[in-house]
Amino acid sequence: MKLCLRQFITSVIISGVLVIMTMSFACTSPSNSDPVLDINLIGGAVTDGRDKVTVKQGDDVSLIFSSDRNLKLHLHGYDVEATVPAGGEANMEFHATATGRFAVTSHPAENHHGAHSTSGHSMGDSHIGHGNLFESDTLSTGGVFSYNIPEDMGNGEIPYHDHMNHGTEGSILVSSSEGEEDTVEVSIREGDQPFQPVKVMVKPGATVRWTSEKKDKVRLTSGQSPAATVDEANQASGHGMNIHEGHSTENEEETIIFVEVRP
Amino acid sequence: MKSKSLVITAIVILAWTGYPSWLSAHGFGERYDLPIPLNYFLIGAAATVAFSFVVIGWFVRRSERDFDYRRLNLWESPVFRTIARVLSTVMAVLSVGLLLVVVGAGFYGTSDALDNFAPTFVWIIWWVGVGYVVALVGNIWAIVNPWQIIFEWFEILFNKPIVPSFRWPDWLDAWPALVGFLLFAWVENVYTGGSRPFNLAVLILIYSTVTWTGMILFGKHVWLKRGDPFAVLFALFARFSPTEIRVNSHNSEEDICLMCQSGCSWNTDLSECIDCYECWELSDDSERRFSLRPWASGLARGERVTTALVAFHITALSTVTYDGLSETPAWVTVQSFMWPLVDPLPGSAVATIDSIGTIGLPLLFASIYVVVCRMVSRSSGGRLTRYDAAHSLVFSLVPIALAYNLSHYLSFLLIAGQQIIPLLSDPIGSGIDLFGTAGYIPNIAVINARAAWIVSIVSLVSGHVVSVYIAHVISLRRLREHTIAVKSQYPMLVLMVFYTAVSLWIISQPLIG
Repeated sequence: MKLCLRQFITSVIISGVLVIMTMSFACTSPSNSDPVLDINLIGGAVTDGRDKVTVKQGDDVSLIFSSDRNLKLHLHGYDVEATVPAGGEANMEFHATATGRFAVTSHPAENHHGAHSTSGHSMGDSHIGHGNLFESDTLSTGGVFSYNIPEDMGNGEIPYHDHMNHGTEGSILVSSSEGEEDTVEVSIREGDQPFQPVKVMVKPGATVRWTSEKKDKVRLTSGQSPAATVDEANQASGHGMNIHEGHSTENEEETIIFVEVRP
Repeated sequence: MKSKSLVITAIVILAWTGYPSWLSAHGFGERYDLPIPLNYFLIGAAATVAFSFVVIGWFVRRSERDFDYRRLNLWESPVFRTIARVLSTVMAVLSVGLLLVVVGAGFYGTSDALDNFAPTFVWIIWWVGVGYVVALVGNIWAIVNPWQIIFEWFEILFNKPIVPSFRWPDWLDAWPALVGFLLFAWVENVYTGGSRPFNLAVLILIYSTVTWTGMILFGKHVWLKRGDPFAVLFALFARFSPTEIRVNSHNSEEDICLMCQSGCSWNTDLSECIDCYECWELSDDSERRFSLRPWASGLARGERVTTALVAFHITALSTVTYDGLSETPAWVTVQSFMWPLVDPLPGSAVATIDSIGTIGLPLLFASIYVVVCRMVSRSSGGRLTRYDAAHSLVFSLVPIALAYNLSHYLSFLLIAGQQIIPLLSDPIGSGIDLFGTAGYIPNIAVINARAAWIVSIVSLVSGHVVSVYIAHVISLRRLREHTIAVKSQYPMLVLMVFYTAVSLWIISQPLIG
């Protein structure tokens, strides 16, 4: 031990401190462009198999989700929501102030759960498949039903049908550039194609109002009529991870991707 | 021990009937931690190895044998004594109140775990928060333990101490505390219903019954030292803390330690009475010392503890590790590997595998520890017996475990812990706003990931250094011969480098859970 121990200790400590300081300050260079990331979903899963996207702290992030089905997406932590209509896309925008690893989850059908009530706004229903966006009461002749397109809904198509009369379908095209801003009227008449007009184009925030002129009862339900949704259901059950078989049915939400906000 | 088997039965019934919640196991709450990046991991690992040699080098050169630490006795000051008494009374009342709120919220509040006071308070504020305070400040659990306080209130109410009807059998040692701790670890890490407010309240009632029964039958202090998992655990953590109590009654007519029922007489290794709450209670102010001391010095006293306490401590350390390990992708790989083997068994396969992990990891830790202690004994040339090594060196691993615990939970406590602010105003999810904080939205930017990484690396590396140091002090105290003491520590050093590296590796893994 001829080598002076005190010097050795000092140099180790100093180099350690220096390295840690370099790590803390070296990588804070701001990014030049704010990231816009496209994420394609089929059957509620990311098509290219990514399990995370990485952005830098301070970025203004746009996550553009496209999906083959209606999905209500939720970015945890930041509590940002976006509604993706089937065949369309939705932009999830947030300013990345906090670092961390945040899950984007899709909220599947049926359950009202107050799990996120601390975030200040309730999640409401989620929107995969049948009846998730809206379902009217049973309408008789002269009955009226209105549906307000959520402001956060991205571009795309919302199919709907008369639940009392399978095979009758209409659709709402949501487009933020074209389309009506206020209220669009749709009348429901007798015949094979009851919805007049069968397609309407609206902006997010607009209202669609149906008036029934039919003798038979009508019940308007979002999504394709049940015959068309069987395939989707099969597809959905196919991609669950085997290992968490027990969990995936219990968990009412499924993680789609993680967003890593790095310092 | 009829009550114990009743508890086990009750918990097993709860486990299989209470349908699993949407929350995962591992206590409760959502985590946003970023895993530490590779360069931090490598620097941490390199610093661990480098500092190990620094500490050894320092020891090689050092020749004095007196490692007694400096203390500052605060109990001499009448002002401090008054403040301490008032403060502990206030905290005692608050603590009992909080226990009642937790149980009440569990039974009568919303079943939604996030909107109910009970899960957040139990799993984040109490389990994580009290663990931090006990290790970093002092054993507040000895002051605020609501079960102890209520027991004492009953004694005051009936104006006489409750005299234990049974003597604690020697063979029982602290094994009941270990059993209780394993049950708790299982509830924390495996049982998915543990975050449900109602289940939590039921578990608390079961625990209360067992605790008070134990205190009445065997005496308060005996039960707290041998039977109660949390008192034993927090006492272990508190050895790291910078505060201690001592009773110095050797000069007075009667030696208080001779009257102490709860373990002073069993402890022949210690010449002084340190951190014995029974002796503290029996003594008067002139004999009491409440002192500040250097952190971690309470771990380096060098006394041997009983086999059950060694087993308890090893289990506690490995449970801390398992909590993080079971959230890594590697554990998912283990689960999928074991899946075909356990799937035919009744019950959820994930729960079975995680139960095996909860029991198996302490056993693995214990066998590695025993092997290393044999090697320590061998490299000391037999001067330090295997028994002595295994029964005294266990404390040297505590700083690494505490450092890991700090790293693992820091962001979680600071972010998820904020939930308690709105919950204090609306504990049962009824929409009331008692203190005007019900609308508080947690700030997820309260700690930056880089700050968390630096704290993690610094605390793990310094925890490692302290561990190596303490192992040396313990061996020096037991061996009294400098060169042999240093030589005997090489196997322990390898174990510690490995333990620290595993801890670093876990915090570099993304959390799945």
